[in-house]
Amino acid sequence: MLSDKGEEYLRAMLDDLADPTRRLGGGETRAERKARIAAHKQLRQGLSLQEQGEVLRAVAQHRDRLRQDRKAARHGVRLRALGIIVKDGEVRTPTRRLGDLAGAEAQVTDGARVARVGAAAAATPSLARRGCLPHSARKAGCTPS
Amino acid sequence: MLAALSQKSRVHAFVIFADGTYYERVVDGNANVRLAQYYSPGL
Repeated sequence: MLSDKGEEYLRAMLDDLADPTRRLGGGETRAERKARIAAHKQLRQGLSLQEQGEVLRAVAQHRDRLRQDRKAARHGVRLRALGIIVKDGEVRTPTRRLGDLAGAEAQVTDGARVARVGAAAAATPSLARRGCLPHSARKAGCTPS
Repeated sequence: MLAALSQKSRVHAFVIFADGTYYERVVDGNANVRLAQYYSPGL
């Protein structure tokens, strides 16, 4: 819970983030930057360390959100597990367009447990005898040496 | 025990579109399965 001064400091920091001209690359001069930082320092002075930390965490979260939004606008939202990208109201894979997002829905079947290394304990000795690696049960096959 | 260690979960994920087409993908591994289940109601 922030005090009034804390709220004021947070608002000033968020305003800075929202305004692209308030950074050196955005047209702000060094003198303006210096004045802005001094004003922040003034606001910060009455706050406890805990409160300062709270404000800075909130600012960092906001900055991350802005960054995510910018990334989503540029590259779309990538749902890696489903192998799709949602961008501009479309669903696509990295290589092709699948369809419109409107009306689309995703379903996942019930999970099944599958063996990754088929019958690992039983097969290992026989594979080893045939000169195969013990963990290569997934490979198509190998000729006996 | 060894058999349990060498197993992993696998699900099929479908994205179904309004025009009747669908996209199917096999999702392997616990982490990916959990993510797919997390995404599916939101899409």
